Amino acid sequence: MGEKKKRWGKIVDLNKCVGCHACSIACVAENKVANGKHRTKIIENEEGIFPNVYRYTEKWSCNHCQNAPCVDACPTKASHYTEWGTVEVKPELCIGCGYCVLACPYRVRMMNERHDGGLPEKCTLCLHRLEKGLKPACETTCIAGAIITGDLNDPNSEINQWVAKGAVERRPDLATHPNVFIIPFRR
Amino acid sequence: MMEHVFTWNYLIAIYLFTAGLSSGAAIIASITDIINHTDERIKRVSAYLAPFPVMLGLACLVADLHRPLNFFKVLIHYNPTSVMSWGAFFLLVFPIIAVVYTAMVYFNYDGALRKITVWLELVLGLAIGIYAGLLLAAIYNNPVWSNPLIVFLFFISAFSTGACMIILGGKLWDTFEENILRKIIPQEWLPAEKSLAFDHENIRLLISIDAVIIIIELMVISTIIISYALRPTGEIALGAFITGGYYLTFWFGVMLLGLIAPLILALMELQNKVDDSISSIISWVEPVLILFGGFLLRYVIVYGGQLVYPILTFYK
Repeated sequence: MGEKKKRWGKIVDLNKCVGCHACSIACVAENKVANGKHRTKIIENEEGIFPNVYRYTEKWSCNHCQNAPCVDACPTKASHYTEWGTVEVKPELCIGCGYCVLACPYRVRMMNERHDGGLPEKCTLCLHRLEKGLKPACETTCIAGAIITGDLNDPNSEINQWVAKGAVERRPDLATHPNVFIIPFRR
Repeated sequence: MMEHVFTWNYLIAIYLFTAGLSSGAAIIASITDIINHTDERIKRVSAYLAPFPVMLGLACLVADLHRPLNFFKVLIHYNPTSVMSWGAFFLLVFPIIAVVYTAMVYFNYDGALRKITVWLELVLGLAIGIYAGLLLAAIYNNPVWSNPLIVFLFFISAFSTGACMIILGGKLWDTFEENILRKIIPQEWLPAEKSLAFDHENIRLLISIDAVIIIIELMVISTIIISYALRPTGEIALGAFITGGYYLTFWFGVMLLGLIAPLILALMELQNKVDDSISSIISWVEPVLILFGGFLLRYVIVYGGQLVYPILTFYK
């Protein structure tokens, strides 16, 4: 019985998120994202029917699907699953066709300009930091503590305690089985 | 709330259009060859024209890539779950086979290899005709594109635009031969039976094919509109080019100028009630309108399909 392989995942608690955009900017600084692009952004949701309307913010970035439409769509297998369950792009194989950008049902990818390399820009879950035992840039900077990253295969990890709090997949109807979950906003 | 970012631009529309032209021409060339159509001219003009539009389209496709220097990777690395990967394979093989077939027709080669090549030309022509629509329809999260009828619409539109390219190609060559070529080279170099120019009957045949396809296209478009409306995402999909977004280009460019006007012209021509002078104008204008409408159809669907993305993010 060897040690079980890690499956990195992330949970965003929408009840804690205040929509300050700090995660978005920390990600740009950490990953040297091209000018004008964001790997993670804040979207604003409006729900309910007047007068019972409410509004909440949500961190929106790659969900690292286990059944990813972008990986299926990529003609050269440049988009691939890493051994820790995340989705990444191999620059040496990418032709910059933009098919993955269109195939992503969450619309989290965007194409870089040609002079910026022309790769699809997307969240890597800061694997380079996770390997060193550090937390992703977005999590370290979150003022509300709304983000948690960890090993989903480790039953004792903090992230699995968050899962027990009622984390759900985004758009479960798409059957993409993301590694990134949300704890839905409750009024 | 969010700006529109078009991942794919007009170059993709040009590519889809030119791939359709090649597909239509290849299918017409191989079918007339397989059934031994008595008139050589349709066969020849379509076989000569088939390889070239898709080559222009491939140039556009490479120009659209964000990492164009890596384009050859798509020809070495294949992903069986990716529609584009299959398409890259067909687009690699089709121009080669089509050029070989063009040479065979030109040199009147009639050996065993001709039979194999003509069937390959037919299969690959069908493949790239279907691939053009399938590339869009395979994106299953897109309410505009993920519709099987888009594949059918692009395919039959490819056939009719291909037929129009053949009409225009034959007529252009005719004009060129009569007005320029015959004046500068000796008459005996151009025997009448080797001429590529269409006679009236060939044009009538192609125009009647076009008229039938336009009627089918109109039925398919109305079915697409109904199938959009029946889905939960109907409002978004219709808003892309039926009721909003590119609706002016669609209703005036595609429907009126690209389908209904050429249908009326084709029926006028086929009824034999117009003078010869008007008939000759019609046989110029009708194919031009269909080609124009065929390009706008792809343009509207490529751009309209991308209008839905900023809405989709919030559609949960």
